[in-house]
This record gives sequence, structure tokens and C-alpha cells, in this order.
Amino acid sequence: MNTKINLSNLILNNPIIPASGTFGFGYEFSKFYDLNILGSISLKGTTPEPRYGNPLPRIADCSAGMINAVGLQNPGIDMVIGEEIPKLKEVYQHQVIANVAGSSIDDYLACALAFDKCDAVGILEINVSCPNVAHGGIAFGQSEELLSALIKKLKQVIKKPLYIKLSPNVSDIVKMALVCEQAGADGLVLINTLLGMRIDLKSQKPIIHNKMGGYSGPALKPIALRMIYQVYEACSLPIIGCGGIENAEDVIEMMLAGASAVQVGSANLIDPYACSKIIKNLPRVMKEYQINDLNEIIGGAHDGK
Amino acid sequence: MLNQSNQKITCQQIRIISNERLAKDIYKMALASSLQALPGQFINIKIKDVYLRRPISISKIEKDYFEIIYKIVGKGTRILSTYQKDDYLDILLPLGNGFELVKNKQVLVIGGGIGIPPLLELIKQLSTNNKVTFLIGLNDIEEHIYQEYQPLVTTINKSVSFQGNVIDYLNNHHLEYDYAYACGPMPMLKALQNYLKVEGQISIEERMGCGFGACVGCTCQTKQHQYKRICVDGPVFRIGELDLDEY
Repeated sequence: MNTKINLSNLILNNPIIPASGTFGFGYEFSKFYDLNILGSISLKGTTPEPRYGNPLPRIADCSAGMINAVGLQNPGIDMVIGEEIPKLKEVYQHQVIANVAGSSIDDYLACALAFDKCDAVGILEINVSCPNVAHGGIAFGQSEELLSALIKKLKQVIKKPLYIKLSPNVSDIVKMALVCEQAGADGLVLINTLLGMRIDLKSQKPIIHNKMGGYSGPALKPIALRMIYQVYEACSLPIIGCGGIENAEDVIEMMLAGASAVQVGSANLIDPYACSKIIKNLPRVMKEYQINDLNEIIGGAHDGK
Repeated sequence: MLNQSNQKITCQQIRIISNERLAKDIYKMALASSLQALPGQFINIKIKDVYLRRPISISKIEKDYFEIIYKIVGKGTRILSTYQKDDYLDILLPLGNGFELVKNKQVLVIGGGIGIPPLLELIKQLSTNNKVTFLIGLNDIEEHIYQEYQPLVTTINKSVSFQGNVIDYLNNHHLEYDYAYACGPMPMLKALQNYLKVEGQISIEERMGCGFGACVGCTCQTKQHQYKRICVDGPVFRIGELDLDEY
């Protein structure tokens, strides 16, 4: 039975990757289980300068999911490379995915250049889809021109593979994926959170201080599956599927839609052991559906496959 | 940094021994687990039909069970109140730091509303080595379910002899103390942080995503602008440590 996946020459023992923003810089989860079982880890979104993030409340519970408006709280690129990644390296031997955030091309460049020199990083995930910051990159994820210009600029100087994490808050995800492909991106992460809101009936005001936030959780899975399916039809870039994954069956479903690997997000917050349970159950579920090699099912739901 | 429990966080299926209504919207649940925890720590409960776990403080720790006291404030706690004896709950525990116990002090412990339950185990453990005065602020005497701890009581309405909040009470009574602990609504903690002239500790409450530090959904700041996660660096902080004005 083979669960090994190749993402732009980064070999993952299995396709399970904790998603950015739900796993910190990883090392704190080593108190729950041995992190080396994970395919890779997508680090907390990093900006050039430290960011405190948004005022509280940042979290609201929803049906089949949650809203967060953390607002890219992170200690800044220097601390991430100088302190966070070294701490992670003590407990995790594989290469990680660095999530690069910013509000200008220069911001993205500054972080991406620093991560490009970092041996522990295998792939750069360009976050052009954070909905929680005034200039949090979602502008890049919603404009074909800005997105294309950003990727082209990064590709000129960055050697490591660039995966673009796209926002579902667009009218045509395929168009944005094709922009990424044409600008030279190496892969896609589909999808970031959907913009959402909850209103408190007692105060009659939005629960989240920022009013809106990113909706994540199992409610997103059908949307993510649809978007991955559509993009896989039109675009040849490898896709990391993300959105509402809770178990090994969901992993198979995402891969059938066209994902080469998956990111598990909100599930980590409900159950810190979520990724370890999925990895443990994956061989059993593969056997149940007579899957010998996960590579053979990527895109399997498409006609002619 | 206050007390950090060395107890490993685990996810357990725990049997409910009892789940009883104590007052309007206030319930006490006893859970069958020999929990090694510090006063001030909390648990995070998976409740059917809601997505996020609900963080609730531990109010009593005994040899083979522990208790929580919770208030129905929304859908999650409403559903929690419908669980029956011998049902099982999926609980992540123990979480957060805990209160650091002082010795040989005249301690004032101040609780407000549903911030009182996390102080109950603290009072029990402080009483062996300190002289403890317990002051609670309630909206109405009907919420008074803490008789066995013999607190001084002030209420916002006219249901007891003294009417007002805990600050009003302190302004009108001479209490001897050289150390303080407090838990309650944020306006009370803000006021106490400015009012109290002694050392002490406060425990704060916030909406949480995970309860164990991963989502940074409950970040606050110290006066030196260091970031603290209420769920792992707290919920207990030293009086004066946090910048509460941003709340």
C-alpha cells in the first residue's frame, strides 16, 4: 500500500498536512503526538513585521464550522526563522510549507526571500486569500492583474516551489487558477475560508469584533470539492485540497476531486489528535475502497479517468 | 509566568455522575474522573450539535470526580444542560495554567456572577494556610448558590442588605487583606485591577477556538505589549500584568 505523494519534488509520506493557522508553528502539538507522522506542516501565516492581529472576539461558533478573524497574528519573519522554525526542527524532521502573507508585493518578497534560504522549508504557500486584514492579500487573490504581477515577481527571485492559496470569495475560481498557472506558479492550495458573519441576539451586533471573518469547517467541504474539481479540469497545476476535512474518507474524496494532498484545518482545533487519527485510519479506508496507491486516485472522479 | 500544570492534556470520554439545576440557568455537573488539576484550570467539552468545544472552569476537584458549574448563555450550554446521568462527554483536559497558591496571607477572594465557580476549589485549597475572606457580587440573591463557602454578598438589585457591585462594597467596608484573587466579568476585573493595591491574581474568560493554544483566537496583551494566549498562558494572570483597557 502506498501513501507517498510527490508535491513538486517534496516527498510526503502521506498527503496529510495541518493547515496554516490551525497548528501554530507546529512544535506545541508535539505534546499530543509524534509530528513526524505528518506528510508536512503548513506554518502560521508570516508577515515581514510582527502583527498582533485583530481585537477580540476573534472566534464565533457556527453550524458545521466556525468563523475566525485572528488577523494574521504572527511574530514576524525574523522571529519565525530565528526561533519558531528551529524549535519545530527539534521535533520534526521533514520539510515544511511556509505560509507567506503580506499587504504589498514588497511584503511578500521580503518573507518569501527569507523562507527561500531556509533549509527546513520545502514549499512556499503564498496566501493571497486572508479575509481578515484590511490589506491582507485578499486583494491579490481577487484581482487577476495583481495576482499575475505578484506571482511573476516572486518567480523571478524565488527558487523553491510556489503554491498559491486561493480564496473561494471570487466569482470564477478557474479563472484565478489559470492566472496562477500562466504566471508560473508551481501549485495551488484550494481553498481558504469563506467570508462569513454571526450576529449576537443579545447585543444585536456582530459577534466578531471585526464584524466578518473566515468561515471554515465541515460546511466548506462540498464547496472545496466543487472548486478543486473545476480547477483540476482546466488547469494542470498540482492542488493541495483544503476545506472541512475531518477523516480519512474526506481525504480520499478530495483526492478523487483532483487534490494531490490535503490540508486539515479546523478539525485540529476541535481535536488536537485529528491529523494523527486521519493518518492512522487512512490505510484501513484505502483497503475498504481497494485503493493500493493514493497516486492512482488523484482526479479519479473526472470523466475518462 | 504563573503555575503551569505538568499534567498532560488528554481527550477523554467521561461519565456524567449528575447534572442538576442550582438556580435559574445555572447548573452543576459532576464528572467521574480522577483529575489531577490545579484550581483555576478549565476543561473543553464537545457538545452534540455545536461545532466548537465549550470551555468551562473546574469548580471542585475530589479524588474520583470533579465538578463544573455553568450558566446557560447560548446554544452550547443549553444543550449541555440536557445531558443526563450516565451520559458520556468528550472532554479535553486539564487546560490553562492555574492559580498559584500563597501561604500565610490574609487573602481576599472576589468573584462576580459566573466568575465565582472557578474560585471555589481555590478557596478550599487556600483555607489550609491562609485567612480567607470571600466576597461575591451577584445580580440577585436568587443566584446565591454558594452558602457552604459563607461569602460576603453584594447584589446589584435590592435583594440583600448591601446594594452595589464589589467595588462599591469594598469602598463601604473595611476588609483586611494583603493578597487578592478575582474572577468575574471584564468590567469588574478592569475596575479591580485599578482599585486593588495589593498583589494578586485574576482569571479571565474569553471566547476560544481550541483552548490549547493553536488558533490564537483568544490573544491578549501585557502592559509591555507581549502577546498572551488566554487559554495557555492564562486564564490566570497577575494583577496588573495585562492591559485590560483594550477590552
